[in-house]
Amino acid sequence: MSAEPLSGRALLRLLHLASPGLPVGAYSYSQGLEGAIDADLVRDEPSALAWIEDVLRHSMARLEAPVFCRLFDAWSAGDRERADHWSAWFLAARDTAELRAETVQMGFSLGRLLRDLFPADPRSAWLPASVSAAPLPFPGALAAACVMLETPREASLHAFLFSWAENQTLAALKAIPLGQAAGQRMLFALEPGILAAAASALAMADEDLSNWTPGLSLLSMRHETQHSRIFRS
Amino acid sequence: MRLTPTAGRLDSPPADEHGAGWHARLELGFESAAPGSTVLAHRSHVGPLRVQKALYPEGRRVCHSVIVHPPGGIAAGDRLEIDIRLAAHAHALVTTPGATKWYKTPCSAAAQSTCIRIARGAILEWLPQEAIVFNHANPCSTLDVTLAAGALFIGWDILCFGRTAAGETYAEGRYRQCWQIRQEHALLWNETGVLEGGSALMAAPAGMGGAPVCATLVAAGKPVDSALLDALRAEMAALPARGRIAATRLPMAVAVRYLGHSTEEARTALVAVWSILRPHLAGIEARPPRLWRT
Repeated sequence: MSAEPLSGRALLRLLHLASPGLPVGAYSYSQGLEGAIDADLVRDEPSALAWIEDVLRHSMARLEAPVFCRLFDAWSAGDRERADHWSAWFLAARDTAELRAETVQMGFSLGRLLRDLFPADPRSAWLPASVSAAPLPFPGALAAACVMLETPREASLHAFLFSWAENQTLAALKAIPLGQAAGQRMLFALEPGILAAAASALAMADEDLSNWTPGLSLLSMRHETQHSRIFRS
Repeated sequence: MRLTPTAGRLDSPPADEHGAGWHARLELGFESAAPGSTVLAHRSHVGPLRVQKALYPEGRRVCHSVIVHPPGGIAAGDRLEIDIRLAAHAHALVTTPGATKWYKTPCSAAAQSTCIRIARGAILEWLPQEAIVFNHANPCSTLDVTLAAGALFIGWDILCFGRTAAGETYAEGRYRQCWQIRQEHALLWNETGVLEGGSALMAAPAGMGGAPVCATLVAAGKPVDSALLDALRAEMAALPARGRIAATRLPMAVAVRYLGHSTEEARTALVAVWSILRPHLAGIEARPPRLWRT
C-alpha cells in the first residue's frame, strides 16, 4: 500500500480520474481481450481472470505502469523534453494499429478535457490541441492530469492500474458474457496483481522495461480482421 | 566449427590471456556508383566476422552480402558489432549462411549489436537466418536502424528458444533485445524485450504461449497503403502458417509476427511476406537468395 498521505481531496480527484465515467472512451477498447475470446483462450470467469492477470503482469507491469511513472516524474519536474521522449518511446512500443490507436485516442480525449478544465495552466499548452498534433499516449495524458490535479505519485499509479483492471473486467462481462457478481469477484481477485504490478513498476530500471508480449501482439493484429466484434481493440 | 588459436571447440570461448571472448567488428559501406548500381565501397573487420565478397545474383542494382562468423556461435564474453551504412540510392541485401547460435553462457553475457544507417533513397534488406538461443544462454541483441527521409528498411528477426530439434527448452537464461527504427527524429519501431528462460512469460498466451519460435518482420520508412496490407493478408491466409501469423500497419511501417513451433515454417512464411512487400516498396521482384534453400 501507499506510504504517502492521501488527503480527502486527492482521493476524490483519483476516484474522478479512475471512474469509468471519465469521457475518454475506455469502454470501447478491450486491449486484446476480445481477440483472446475469439481464439478461445478466454471463455469463462477463470480463463478471463487468468488472461487479465497475465496482461497485468507481462504488459502493464513492464510497460504502461513504469512508463506512467516516468511521465509523471517528467511532468512533475516540468521537463517537457523528457516527457516527449517517453511519450514517443511508448507510442513506438505499441506494436499494432489498434493498440496504438487506442492509446492515442484516449490520450487526446483526456488532454482535451484537461485543456477545458485548466485553460489558465501553462502546462495545458503541452497537450495536443488537435488530432493532427503530435500524439500524446494515454499514460502521458493521465500523468499530466495527476500532476495538474496534484495527486500523489504512488496512489495515482494504483488508480491507473485499478481503472485499467476495471475496464478489462467490464469488457469481459460484456463480451463473454458474465454476470455482475463474477465481475466483482474478478476485481477483488485482481487486487494482489495490481499491487504487485505497481510495486514492480515503481522499482523498475529503464533497462528492464519490456513491451515483448508476442501473443498479445498477434491477437491484436488478428482482431483487426475479426468478423464479429464489439470493441475497437 | 569454432576456430580458436589452438583448437576448434564448439561450446566454449577462446581462452585468451584475459579469459574474455571474441571482440569482433565488421563495417560495411554501400554506395550507388551509377544510377541503378550498388557497390560495396567500404569493408573492414576486426576479429572473426566478415563478408567474403560482394555478390550480384540480381544484377548490379542490388548488392548482396553474406556475413560470415567463422566461430559458428556466440559464446560467453563475445561481443560482435556490425556497422552498415548505405549512401544515397544504394540498395543492399544482407544475410547469413546459417543459423546464429547463442551458446550457453553461464557466468557472463554475450552481445551482438548492429547499427544501420540508411541515407536518402537507399534500401537495406536485413534478412539473417534464424537465431537459436541455447538453454542457459544470456544474449543481448541490439538492432539500431536510422533512416533518412525516403529510405527503406526491410528486416526480420527469427528467434528459436532452445535447440528444439534436440528436445531442449529454454529453461534458464535471460534473452534481452532492443530493436529500434528511427526515421529522421521519429521513432517508428521500438521492441524492447526481456525473456527469462522458464519464466511465466514463456507459457502465457499473451507471451510466447508455449511456442519456442517467434519471428517478426518490419518494413519501415515508406507509407504502406491498405491495399498492400490486404494483399499481405490474402497471401498469409493461404500459408500453412495461417493462424500463427498476422500483420498490422503503423505510421510509416508494416509489421508481421509469427508465433509457432518451427523456424522452417516461420522462414517460409516471412519469405512469402517479403515477396509481396519487396516489389511494392522497393520496386523490384523478390528472388530469394539461393543460400536460403540449403
